Amino acid sequence: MSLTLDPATTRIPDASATGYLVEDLSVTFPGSTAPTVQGVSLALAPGRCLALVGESGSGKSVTARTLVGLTGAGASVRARRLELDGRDLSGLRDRQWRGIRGQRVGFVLQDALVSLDPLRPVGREIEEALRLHGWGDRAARRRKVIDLLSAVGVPEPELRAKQRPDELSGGLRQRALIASALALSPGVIIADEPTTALDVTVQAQVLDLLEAAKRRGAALLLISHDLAVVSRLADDIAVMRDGRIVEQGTAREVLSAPSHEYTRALIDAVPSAHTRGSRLAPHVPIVVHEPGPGERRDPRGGPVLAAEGLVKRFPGPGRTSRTAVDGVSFSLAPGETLGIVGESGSGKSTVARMALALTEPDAGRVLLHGQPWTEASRGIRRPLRREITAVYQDPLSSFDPRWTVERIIADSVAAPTRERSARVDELLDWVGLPRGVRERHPLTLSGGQRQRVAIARALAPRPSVMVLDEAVSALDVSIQAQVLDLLGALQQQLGVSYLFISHDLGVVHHVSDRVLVMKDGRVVEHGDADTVFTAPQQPYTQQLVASLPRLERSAPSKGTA
Amino acid sequence: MTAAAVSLGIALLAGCSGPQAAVGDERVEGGTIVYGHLQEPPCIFGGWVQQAYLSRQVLDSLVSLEDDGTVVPWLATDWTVSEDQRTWTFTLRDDVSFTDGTPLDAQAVSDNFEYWLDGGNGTVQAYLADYYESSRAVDATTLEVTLSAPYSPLLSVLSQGYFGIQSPTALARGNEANCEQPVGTGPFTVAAWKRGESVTFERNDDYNSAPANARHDGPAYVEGIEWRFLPDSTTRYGSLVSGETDVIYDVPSIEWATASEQFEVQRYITPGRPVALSFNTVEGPFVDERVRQAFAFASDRRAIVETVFRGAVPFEGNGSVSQGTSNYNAEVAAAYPYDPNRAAELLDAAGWSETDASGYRTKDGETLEIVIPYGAGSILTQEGSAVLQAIQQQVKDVGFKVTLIPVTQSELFGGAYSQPDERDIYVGYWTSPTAAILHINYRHHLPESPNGANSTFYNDDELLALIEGANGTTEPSEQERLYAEAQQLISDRAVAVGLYTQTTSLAVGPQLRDVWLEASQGEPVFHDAYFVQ
Amino acid sequence: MTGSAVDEQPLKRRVGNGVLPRVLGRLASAVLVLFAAASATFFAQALLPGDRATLLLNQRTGQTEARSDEELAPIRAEYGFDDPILVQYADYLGGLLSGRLGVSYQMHQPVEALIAEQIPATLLLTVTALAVAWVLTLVWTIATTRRSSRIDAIGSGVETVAAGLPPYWLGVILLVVFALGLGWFPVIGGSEAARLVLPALTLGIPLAGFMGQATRAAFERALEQPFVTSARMRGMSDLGVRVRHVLRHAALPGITLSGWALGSLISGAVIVETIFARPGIGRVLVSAVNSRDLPVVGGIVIVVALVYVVVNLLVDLAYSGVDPRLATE
Repeated sequence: MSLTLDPATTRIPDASATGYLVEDLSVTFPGSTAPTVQGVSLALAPGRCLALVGESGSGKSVTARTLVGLTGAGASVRARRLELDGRDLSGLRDRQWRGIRGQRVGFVLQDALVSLDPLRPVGREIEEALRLHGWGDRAARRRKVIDLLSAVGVPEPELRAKQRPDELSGGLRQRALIASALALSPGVIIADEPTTALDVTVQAQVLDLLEAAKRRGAALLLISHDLAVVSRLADDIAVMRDGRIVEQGTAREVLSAPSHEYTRALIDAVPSAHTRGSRLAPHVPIVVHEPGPGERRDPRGGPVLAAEGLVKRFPGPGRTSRTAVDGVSFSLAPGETLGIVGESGSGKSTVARMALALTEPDAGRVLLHGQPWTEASRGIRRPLRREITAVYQDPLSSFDPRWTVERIIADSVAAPTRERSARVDELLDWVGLPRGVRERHPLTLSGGQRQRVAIARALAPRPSVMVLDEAVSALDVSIQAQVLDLLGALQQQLGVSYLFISHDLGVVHHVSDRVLVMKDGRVVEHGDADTVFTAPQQPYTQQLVASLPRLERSAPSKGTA
Repeated sequence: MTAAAVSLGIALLAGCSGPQAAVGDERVEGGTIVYGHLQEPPCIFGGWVQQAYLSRQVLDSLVSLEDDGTVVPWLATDWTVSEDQRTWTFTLRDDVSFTDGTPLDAQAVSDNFEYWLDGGNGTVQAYLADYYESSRAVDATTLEVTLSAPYSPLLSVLSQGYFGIQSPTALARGNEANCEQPVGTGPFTVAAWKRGESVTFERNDDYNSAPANARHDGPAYVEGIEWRFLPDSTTRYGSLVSGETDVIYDVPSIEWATASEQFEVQRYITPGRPVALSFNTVEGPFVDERVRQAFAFASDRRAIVETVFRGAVPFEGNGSVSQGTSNYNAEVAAAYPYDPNRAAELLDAAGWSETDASGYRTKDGETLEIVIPYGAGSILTQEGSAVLQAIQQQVKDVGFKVTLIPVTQSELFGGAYSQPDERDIYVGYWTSPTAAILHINYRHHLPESPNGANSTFYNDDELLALIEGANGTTEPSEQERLYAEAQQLISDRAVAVGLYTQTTSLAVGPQLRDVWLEASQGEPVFHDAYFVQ
Repeated sequence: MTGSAVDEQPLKRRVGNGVLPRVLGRLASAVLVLFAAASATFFAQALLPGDRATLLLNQRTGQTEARSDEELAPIRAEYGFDDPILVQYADYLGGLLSGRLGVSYQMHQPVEALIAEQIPATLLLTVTALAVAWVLTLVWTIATTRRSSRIDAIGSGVETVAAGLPPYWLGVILLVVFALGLGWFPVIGGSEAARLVLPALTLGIPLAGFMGQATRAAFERALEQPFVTSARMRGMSDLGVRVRHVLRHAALPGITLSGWALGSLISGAVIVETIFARPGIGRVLVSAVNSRDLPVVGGIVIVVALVYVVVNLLVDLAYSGVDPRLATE
């Protein structure tokens, strides 16, 4: 990586900067009896990165915010020690906290699209950090903003500073967000899920930035659920679960020889090349059902789904048009999983839509079971829709929130009413949900449960192909693991083919038999999953693979680091 | 506005001594009177009394009326009438000019008569259309008016603001200009009219034609008048209290007592027909005289009026002519006191002897239902509406089912409810300086000569003979006797019974003196007014 | 790895200025709106029950009688009331198209002159009332949103009460308390600015309550957004966050309502004009409707419709100013 932080914009913190010292921190929110965070002790030292790892609800974000006094209204915070650079932070008034925030501690949130004010140019946001702490005059601040933007690697910084977050790409946005946190060269940087929702290549660049900051002497607290990301950057790791730290130590120790079973399960749950063919969450039982008559797909026969030369163009501003998909072809055999991987804007979702015949291709066609699919009229397609179904990233937006689970699933069951109820029960069994879930509304379910309901709904009409568009991207690692296991089991039992679309290479590598790599609407490389990922031929694929943070495993004999 | 808000106003005002400083008696030259009036008419000159208020400031009439009814000279210095009562000769002043320079002469006055009767003023037409034949200028200062029949109230009628003389040169400008800025010989001229806000009058420095009953001759003392339109009563009264206006029109009844203590309050009872209940005598239950009388006995109109108006407006029992009008018959006012038993007897005698479940009288299966449409907010004020509602409640005990219909201004003035089959009682008033109003209201309404002002549709020859006789005689006592008999007849037959007089009131701040209300219509006269400090 | 060139495609391009075609499109639909307004006015006035000639004559004399045909004939001839209704309509439209709004039946003045005389006062009052409403809304929302639950409840309750205050009641109360009672403001007359305060408050307070409710909801939503947290993490104070960041996000519902409010304020101004004795087209309109003075009513309706159209166009432009993302669609 050639990106480094310009020395003029960071300084080696002085000796008095000792970082954070926290002992026995506990945070309780009003209205709940149990503390959200309990007994947390950690130390952040300059020049080192501590990663706080955990799943949603573990309390890691609350801990991070407590470190800057933004726990939330009415929360009660108690700690035996809570110090920054030797200064006691307990009992600080808001004015004093404000002096610390931005100046001594820089905070980076996830998803710059919503973490930067969408109505203001990013330059103003960065300048705000300078202005709030009385840095220089306006002209000096403007220059500093440009410097900061170029320091984080934003090209044409004068132009970009005047643009709003929605006018920048994901990577540029996140860099601008980091620039605003680094503006005053704080001694401590806290990054809360800084790489979520970013493309792999961009993710790598952001991690480089953070690493450079660390090398310049800042103390870095990295909060993430992604162990691969953590392994790249962290010197020390603390694993949190239900508000407590269950394991803590150097990165090497924790990752290669975890002592707590939770840590072990977390590590095992990360899908990658090494986990192919095995269960990610072996401790969670999956009920194995015998498929009923007619349930199982016929493994013989030609491809269930074939695409030939798909092209799709969208009108752009003015008279221009953008080619989203440019000559994509693939075929999907029965019982096979074809993974489509690419970064944002590569056209993979458009391909999925064409495969589902929800979008008409401008050229090319899709064949379902060898019969014309996109070329057929709507009337012919409608009864065949049960052959190919879809599961999306956010099930909440594809459910009617007023419907119960039962109704959601029954809606897809094509059977006379009296048989529907039985079928719903059967499907719930298949996806491993208890029957009591029937009467509940999706809003009351967890993310994993919702996704299982979505899978049940997709399975209901007994399809030959399921299109899974980023189906596990929004799930916590352990839940993701369980759902991937479920999908694997279902494929084994029922012989369903999967068209699996994702930006997460690890997941794709784990589930796919064959893989398509897309960039700017074209298929850059395709072939057997292992081959493509371990020995990529094309430079783009090589770049992608190289950017992927690898998790060092406890079994070094498997694969390379 | 809501009584509650206004009461709050009183409570607050009572606590303040008012921002006006103590005023002495030293006379001040000049100044501009700020006058707060109620309603803004569409034009300054016209047939509506609101227009007469304004035109009085800029136009002079031929004669003026004293409070006791005597006619005194104004633009006409002398007059005679021929033997047959049909030719009137007026001698005019020779030293008067209109403010646009045109000299005032007999021809100018004759042109005015023609203009009015040609459609220029509908109220003039109502008075004179049956009587006027022609007019001519004998010479520059002598005007001869020829009538088609004797009309003794002519002089009193001519004293009203409707008969103000305009410059013929100005009349030739056309309707739009005359609407905004009529030109006359009066003490002020119209300088500007900001619609919705105010009319600004400027002193006519050459004024020399004050009426004989003015307090002084020559130009006005003040330099001008700012005639503001303040339709909301709280605002209007409040502006007087705060000193932003010098004199206001129409003191709200709720403030009457306080105003009488703090300011000079003048009350003017408008002569003419009072606000009265005029019964429909040709269709409906009131065809029967007994039913009409029963209705008159069935409510205590005096008590209701006195309660609602709190003494600000007097009760008037005479249904055809109001107190304060010359030739008013006062005995008639006491004719129908509150007597529900008598009312019941009359109804029984008239055949309405049965009662239905709700207590209303019935006859042959038909309920005794009375429909009273009224101009809510236009002809009748809120208090007037309250009076009607109280009557409705009271007569219910005797068995009358009264339906009150508030009618919007545009409907009412558009002729709604004007036909005999649409209403049983008409509620309204008509201003007039003399009992000549009887002729307007009781002249027969016939298909070939309709009289829309005959709201009772009562075509009675005996009554008409009395009225015409009174109109035709020049002998005052004879006139009085005949008018009195006419009123008695109307009352005996209960053709109309009265409610209250149309009253105007003026409240003058202590810094202004000698504002007076002229007798024919109650217009405020500012020509003699002056400031003191 | 080159780093920069790989993924630096901006997701949305800045669109060239599409303002002009939008404005033209708006003007075209404005013409349709005006045409519809004029026609509706005409038919409403012409087809109301009651005879227009009688009404005119009666108004001139202050009487309410039935009139004979002879009396009415000259008026009918002068204004064409005898013509078939469609002929009258065609005449009316023809007059409008050639730019003549006509002459008032009652006041004999050309309608354009009448409106031009009266409308500045109404517009001044309306705009001031809207400004007052905005100031009140913004201050109140910033001060009372998402503080303690009690302050929230009070803030929201006050808005609801304010929104429900009837202008005629509020106007009289303000007049009695502040002008008559305390003497802080003139009852009538006085310098321009002082005269505007109470009337603007009378109209502005209920509007502020109404707008406040919408603005409060948007404000609360925006306060929960992550960018607010980012700002706090840079060291911004709570007030700073509210004013510098959240305010702009919460302004959109208020701007939408302002478009509607301006038009409705114009028509609601009549009550305030009556109480505070201000000139304005509200009162002129009411008395013109009462006397079925079609040229005046028609003229005012058309002018008000035009104001609505212009205001809505301005609101549209204001949107893109407040939220530039909307401009790129």
